[in-house]
Amino acid sequence: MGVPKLVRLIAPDALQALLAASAAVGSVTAAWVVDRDGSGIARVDPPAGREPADPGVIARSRLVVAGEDMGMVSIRAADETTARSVADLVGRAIELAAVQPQLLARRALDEELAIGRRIQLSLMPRRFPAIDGWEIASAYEPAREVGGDFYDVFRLRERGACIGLVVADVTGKGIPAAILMADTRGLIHAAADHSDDPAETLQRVNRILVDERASGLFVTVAHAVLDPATGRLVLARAGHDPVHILRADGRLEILLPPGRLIGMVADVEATSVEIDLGPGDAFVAHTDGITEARAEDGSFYGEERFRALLGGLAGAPARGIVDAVVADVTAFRGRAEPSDDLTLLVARRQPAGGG
Amino acid sequence: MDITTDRPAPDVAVIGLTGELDGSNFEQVIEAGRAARDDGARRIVIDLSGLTYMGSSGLVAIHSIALLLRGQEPTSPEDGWQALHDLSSAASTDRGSGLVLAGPPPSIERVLDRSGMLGLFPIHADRAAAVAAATTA
Repeated sequence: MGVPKLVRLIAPDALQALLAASAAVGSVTAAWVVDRDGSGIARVDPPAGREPADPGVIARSRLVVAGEDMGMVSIRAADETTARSVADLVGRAIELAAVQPQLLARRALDEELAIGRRIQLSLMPRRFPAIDGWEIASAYEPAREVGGDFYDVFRLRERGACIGLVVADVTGKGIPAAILMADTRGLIHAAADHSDDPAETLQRVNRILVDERASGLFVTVAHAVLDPATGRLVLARAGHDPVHILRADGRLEILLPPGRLIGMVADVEATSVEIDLGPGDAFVAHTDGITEARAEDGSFYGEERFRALLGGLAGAPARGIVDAVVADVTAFRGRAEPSDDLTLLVARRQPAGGG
Repeated sequence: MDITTDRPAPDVAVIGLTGELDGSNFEQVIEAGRAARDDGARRIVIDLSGLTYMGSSGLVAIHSIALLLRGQEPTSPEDGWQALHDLSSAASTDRGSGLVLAGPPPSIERVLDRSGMLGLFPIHADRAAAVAAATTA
């Protein structure tokens, strides 16, 4: 027979202290706790030589924690009322002490998720750089518990006219994921400032994370450098979902340059791809919170539906594209709880003559 | 998700997965790998043919089992802040960990391909081929 379950939940001296407190009640002369099968766990007896002449009355209270029978506490006192009320009181105190670690652990986890969420939200760009001839719009909808997405839009320092675009997804949640997110965001920013090639940027970030961190977490990234003056976009991908280019005439191109997710092995083996965006063309990057959104029946939103929707949005402003996708995913999901963060970033070159 | 473990040879284990592999159960897969390794397995085949979905946690599970086979301990995100400064260099492009993947359905293969993990481990079309390769290796 192993350790009584109650002793696994409350330290023996904590239990002893509760019994001693109940025995401090004037007319209580003994208090003890037994396991389900009757074997003794703890007891407090009257000091030797001070046993009362009258045996008094015993009242018992069963100990139930999370619906499970944990044993019984017994109180001997001079009268029925005292025995009964002390037995009930100390019984509830023991049950509360037994469930406390789980409550604390649960609260600690909730707090960690909330802190991780606050770190994550603080990393998101507040506003985008204003770029002549271009529209940038984004959607970011965090799921309740699960997290890990981030996106970024920034001017490159060395080539100040160029814009860096990032959409990324960390494989975890809570504070470790938020730390990796903050880390990765800063590393990409700094590396991009001194790199001609987004693939090289991702490899440099990967090297730092692999050599100097061991978080057990990985991150997928889509990172592009855009020259707004020419419309030339250079894209690198580290394990991330494909990037879509929505042409003004409705054609949809899918960019899937090679590259491994970051943080796992020494080389991401990424190669950049170049593409030119003309007037009315849009760059669309997303995370799998969109394509893997689930409806109540368990079906996935999927890439086909996403592409069909995008194809019909040619000519819409960046904000309109983002809003239409979010509305469609939300409608598809119905009353099902979001299971993952949803992130979408659109950079669109305005058509000639504005609009 | 269901996890089965078979031992076709004293140093080979086959871990079969059926259903959806995600953040809620990937740690159980790692533990199945650990148990097999502790029980003498030096090569582990992960049979993916029964999976209907695999999220990024599945990639973590696969990589963690590869680490275990190399005698390394995967860092758990539960280790929190401490783990982030651990200078253990667990990463390697070495394909010789002893981990083999078998029978990924098209959607699962796409996840492996997109994440860049296809090149890291040998993959066979089905369990039988994978076991044959693991047993003769």
